[in-house]
Amino acid sequence: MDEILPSSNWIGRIKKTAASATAPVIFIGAVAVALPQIIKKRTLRLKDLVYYLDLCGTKSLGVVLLISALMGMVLAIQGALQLKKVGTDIFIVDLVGFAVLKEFGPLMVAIIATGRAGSAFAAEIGTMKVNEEIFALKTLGISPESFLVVPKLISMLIAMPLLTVFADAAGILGGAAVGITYMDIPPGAYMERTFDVLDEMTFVLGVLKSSVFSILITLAGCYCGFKAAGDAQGVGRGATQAVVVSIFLVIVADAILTLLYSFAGY
Amino acid sequence: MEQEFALEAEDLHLGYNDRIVLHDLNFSVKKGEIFGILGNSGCGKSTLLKHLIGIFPPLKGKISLLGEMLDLSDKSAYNRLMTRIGVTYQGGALFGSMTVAENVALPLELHTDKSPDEIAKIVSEKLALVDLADFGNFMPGELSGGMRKRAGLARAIALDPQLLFFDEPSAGLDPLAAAALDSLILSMRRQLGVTVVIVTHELDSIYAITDRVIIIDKAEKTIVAEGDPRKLRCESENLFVRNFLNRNGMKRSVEHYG
Ligand SMILES: Nc1ncnc2c1ncn2[C@@H]1O[C@H](COP(=O)(O)OP(=O)(O)OP(=O)(O)O)[C@@H](O)[C@H]1O
Ligand SMILES: [Mg+2]
Repeated sequence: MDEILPSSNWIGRIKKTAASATAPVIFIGAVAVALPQIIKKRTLRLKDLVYYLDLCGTKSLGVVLLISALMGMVLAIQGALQLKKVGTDIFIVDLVGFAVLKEFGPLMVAIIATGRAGSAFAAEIGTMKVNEEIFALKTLGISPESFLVVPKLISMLIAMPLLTVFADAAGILGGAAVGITYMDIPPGAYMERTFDVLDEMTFVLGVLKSSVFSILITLAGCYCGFKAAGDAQGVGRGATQAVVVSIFLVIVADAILTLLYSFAGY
Repeated sequence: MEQEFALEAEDLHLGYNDRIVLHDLNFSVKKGEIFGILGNSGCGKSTLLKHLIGIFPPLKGKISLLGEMLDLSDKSAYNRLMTRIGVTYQGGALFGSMTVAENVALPLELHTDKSPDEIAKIVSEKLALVDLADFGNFMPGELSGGMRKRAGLARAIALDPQLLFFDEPSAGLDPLAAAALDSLILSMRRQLGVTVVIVTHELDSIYAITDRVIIIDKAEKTIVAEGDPRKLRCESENLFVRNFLNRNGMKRSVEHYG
C-alpha cells in the first residue's frame, strides 16, 4: 500500500521536486489567467482596490518623498566632493538628475513598497491560510489567485509608477537644495540645466522600471503568503521571505533593465 | 439529474506526502440523506472531508459529487461545481477583512447576476436563519466562536447548495444552540432537499439527525462500520463501534461508580 505515497519511490520524489520547482511558474500562470477573467466578469471589488491603493499609494507617499529627497541630497553631496576637484560644479545637475530618474526614484519606491506592501501581502495571505480562509475561497468556487492577487497587482501597478513620479521630483529638489546652498549654483541656472539635460524618455523608462518592480513585489509577496506554513511562525517567515525575495528580484530586474536600456542608448 | 447519489467515493487512499492517513475507503451518500462521518480524534475525519471537497487531491481513488467526477486539474469546472456545494469549517473561516454581511454576500456577488438589493435581502434572510440578524455589520473578529461558525453556515448556504459539508458544527456551541443547529439542518433538508455530510463528535446530534454513518477506526486507518447509527449501536460486531456509539452511557456509568 505504501507504494502509492509520492515520497516512497524515486519517480515520486522526482515528480515532487519538479512540482515544487514549477510551483512559482504555475502560480504566475494562474494569475495571468485570472487577470483578464476578473475584469471581464466584473468581479473586481472596488473596495479592495481602494484599500490597496491607499496602502501602497497614499500611505507611502510621505516616506517616499522624504527618503527620495534625502537620497537626492546625499547624491549631490557625494558628487560635489568629486566634482569640486575638477571644478565642474554644474555637472552635479546631470549626475543627480540622471541617477534619480534612472535608478534612485524607482528603487526608493521599490524599497518602501517591499517593506510596506510586499510583506503585508504575504502576512495577509498567510494569515488567511491559517484561518482556512483560502480553503473557504476555493470551496466557494472562487479562485484565490484572482480574488486575492489581482486587486493587489492592479493597485500596485497604479500606485508605484505614480509614487515614482513624486520620488523623481523630490530627489531632484533634494539635489537642487544641496547644489544651491552648498555649491552656490544659482537656483535659476540649476533648474534651467535640469530641464536642458533630462529628456522625457529617461523619465518614462524609469517609471516603466517601477511598473516592472511593482509586478515582481506583488507576485513575490503573494507567493510567499500562499507558500507560508500554516501557523503563526510560518506567517512571520513568509513576510520576511517576501521582503528578501522582492529585494533580490528587484535588483536583478534592475540590472537586466539597465543593460537593455543601455543597448537602446539610454 | 437522475442519479441517485450526491457523493460517491471509490477506492480512496488519502494522506500527506510521506504518510497514509486513510486507505481503501468506499462509500456513497444518497440524495437527501444526512450522512455522518465519525471516528476518534485524529483518525482523519477532517482529512477525509478536505479531500472530498477537493482541497487536497487523493493519493488514489475517485470522488464524484452531485454526479460529477471531481477533477482538480479543470479549475473552471471545479469552481462551477463548488457553487452547488456548501462547506462550513471548524473555525468558521470567515474573511477577516469583511463584515459578516459582506462575507455572506460574496458568493452571491461573484456567482450570480442579482442586484445589490436582491443580494441584501438574501443576506438578511440567511443571517436570520442562523440567528445573527443583528450582526451583519460586525467584523468576524468581534464575534464569538459559535457566532463565527453560524456566520460561516450562512455564507455556505447563500447560494442554496444541493450538498452541504460540516466539520464539527456543534463543537463550541452551547447545548441549546447545538440543538437549534440540528433542527436547522433538518428543516433545510425538509424544505430544500439538501444532502448533508457531517463530521461530528456529538452523539446527541448523531442520533437526532443522521440517517447513516461511517465509522473510522484510527488503528485500522479505514472504515470499520457503515449504516444506521441506532442499529450499529447495539448490533455491530465490532467492539470499537459499539463502544464509540455508546460513549455517553459509558461516561455516565463511570461517574456513577467512580
Ligand atoms: N495538513 C496536514 N499535513 C500533514 N498531516 C496532517 C495534516 N492535517 C492533518 N494531518 C494528520 O492527519 C491525521 C488526521 O488528522 P485530522 O485532522 O483529519 O483528524 P480528525 O479526525 O479530524 O481529528 P479531530 O476529531 O481531532 O478533528 C493526523 O494524524 C494529523 O497529524
Ligand atoms: Mg477534525
